[in-house]
Formats: sequence, structure tokens, C-alpha cells
Amino acid sequence: MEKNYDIYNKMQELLPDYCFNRINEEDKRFFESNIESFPDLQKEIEDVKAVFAKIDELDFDGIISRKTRNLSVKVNKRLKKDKPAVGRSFMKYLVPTFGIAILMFAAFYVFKPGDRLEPANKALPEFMVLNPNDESKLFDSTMTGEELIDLSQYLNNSLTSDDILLASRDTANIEIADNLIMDNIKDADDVFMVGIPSEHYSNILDEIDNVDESDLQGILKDIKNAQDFN
Amino acid sequence: MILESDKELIDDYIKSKSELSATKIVRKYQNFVYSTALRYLQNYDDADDVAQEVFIKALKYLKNFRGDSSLKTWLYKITVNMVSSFKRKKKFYTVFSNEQDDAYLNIENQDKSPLQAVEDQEFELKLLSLLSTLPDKQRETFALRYFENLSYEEISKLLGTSVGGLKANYFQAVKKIAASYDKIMRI
Repeated sequence: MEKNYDIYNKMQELLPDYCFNRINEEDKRFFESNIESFPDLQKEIEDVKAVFAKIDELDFDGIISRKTRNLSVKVNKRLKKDKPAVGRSFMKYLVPTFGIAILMFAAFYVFKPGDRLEPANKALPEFMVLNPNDESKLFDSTMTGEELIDLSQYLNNSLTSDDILLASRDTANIEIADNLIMDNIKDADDVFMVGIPSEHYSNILDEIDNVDESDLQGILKDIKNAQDFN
Repeated sequence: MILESDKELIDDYIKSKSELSATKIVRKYQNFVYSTALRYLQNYDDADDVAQEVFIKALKYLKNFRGDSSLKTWLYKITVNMVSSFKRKKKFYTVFSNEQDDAYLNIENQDKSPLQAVEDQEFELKLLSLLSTLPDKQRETFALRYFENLSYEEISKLLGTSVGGLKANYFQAVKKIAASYDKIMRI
């Protein structure tokens, strides 16, 4: 029984080569002497031969040969293309590096991160650091009315009445003069609170010409005291 | 062991790096490499791409080939590795693509009538489709023995399987193909 099993196994192993006629003579004799004992293998041989007769007609070799006839040309073409490996790998790194350098240059020079710190400083006029003696120079008759109004916001009480008068005279604009006076009297709204209508400001301006310096300072001091008291 | 004729080809290419010497190597093994790739990929265009890659890689590293195995064995292993790599890449790209792969076995059959050519094409499609359903070892054993006519010892070196195992694989593959005879013949 065991011997038959071994023979059966060997018959199976030889069957394909027998069907395709690729078996040596010794194995062929062995196979043909034992095939009668295995009807299922006989059926197998018939089926295999029928199918593979059709496969042989397909001429796979011919099909493959036609498909590969230009393969050597394609390979040689690609080998030539791949040859300057050094140059191509250099370019592979050069272009991205150059691109990054351009972006960094643009970021630095176009956006100028340092500029963001300037605006706060830029808003401050230069005359904020003027010496007391130079303050009168602020009242330059070439300045526009708007410039004077803006300027008045930065004036401090160190200005003398003469300076104020001088500034007010050099401007022909009542509004500008008003603003100058008001900004230099602290809490200018207090003046309104004492009930002086705005149309009297020009009168006040006229009268200031006739007021002594010491009297004017006294008035200003009184106003200041009144404000502190409130 | 490397064949004498292969050794001459290799030495010639390493020395000269000429187009002619490269062409000789490619022409000798192009059918083998291409058909191996075709069995794995089931697509003529893909098999062509892989075959090109195999030869380019082989020629690039030919100077490192020690000759422990035959050149055919070496090329076979490169082909199998290249196919795996190709399949992985293709799988990745097909996830993002809706293209259907229609470049499947587009045969030109110049010697037969159009009707016969169509019948043969369908038969070939079914046969190759059937081969693709076999386990890799059975399919490769069958193809290398039947189509390439390699000895069991050579196939054993390629696939890393014993001769007895290969013979069993070969029988099983042939039996399965024969069992599907009716399906194949029904056109």
C-alpha cells in the first residue's frame, strides 16, 4: 500500500512532463508501465493535453518577442538620459535652495519687520524734546492751521503768554487762536463753565494784549486753583 | 554558477559601457524578464515599464554582480523585487485616481484572421487570469518550467523551494489549469 502511494506520488510528479513530452527516457518507461493502475491519472492526461494544445497554439513566445522588440532601445535611451547624474542631482538641490533664498530676501526687504516698531515713535513730533528757549520757534508762520492745532496738543505750560500771544497773532484764524488759548489753559472746558460764550474769545484775545504779564499769570494761576479745588 | 557566455557579456559591458554591449544583455534576457513581470502584473504596459527598470538597475549594478548565481537568477530576483515595488506604488496612486486600467493584454496578432485573433485573445485573457489565481509559488513553478523550460534545480535556486516541492507545485498548477478547461474554452 505504501509502495503504491509512493508510486502514485511519483506518477503525479512526472505527469506534466509526460504530457508536454519533456520527460527523460527512464522516467518515461516508468510512467508508461504504471499508468494503467491509475485511471484518474489517465483522465488527467487527457484533460491536460486538450487544454495545453490550445495554449501551444497561442505562441506565447511570439507574443512576448513582439512586445519586447524595442526594449533594448528604450533601455539605452534611458541610460543616456541618466548619465549626467552629478549635474542633475546638483540642479535638484540648486533650484529649491535658490527659491528659498529669494523668499527670504523678499521677506526681509519687502516686509521689513523693523518698521513695525517705528509708527509709535513716528507719531511724536520732534519738538517734544525741545529746550524751553526753543519753544517759541514752534510758532512758525509757515505752519498751516491744522499743524498748529496738532502742535497745540503738545504744548506745555512752560510757554509764556508772550509766546501764546505771538502765536495767536501770527495766525489770522480765530479758531486756531482759540485752540491755542484753550489748550494752554488746563481743562479749557472750565472756562465754558464760567459762562463765557465762545463769541467773546476774540474779545479776550484782544484784551490779553492789554493785560500785564504778571496779571495774566495771576489769572492763569487762579484758574488752575479753581480747577484743583473742583 | 555564471555561464561563460554571460561572463563575457558582463565583462564587455563593465569595460566598455557601450550601447552595443548593453543591447546584447538586454536582448538575451528581455523575454524572460518581461514575461516574469507580465505574470505578476497582468498588464503589458506595466510589464514593459518594469522590464525597463530591471535592466537599468541591473546594468547600473552589474559591476557588483559576484557570479555566485546565474545572471538569469539574478535578473529574476531583481524583477520580482521591482514588481513588488511597482505594485505598492500603483496601489498608492490608484487610491487617488478613478482611472480604470484598460491596458490589459492588448494583443496584436498579425498572422491570424480577425475572428481567430479575437478568440485567441479571449482565451489568453482567461488563461492569464486563471494563472493569476494560482498561489505565487505554483504559478511561478509552472511558468518557469513550462514557458522558460528551466530545470527543477534552476527553479529551486530561484524560488528557494526543494525539487520535490517544485514537482508537487507543478503538478497542482497543471491540474488546476486542466480542471478549468471548460471555463477557458467557453468563448
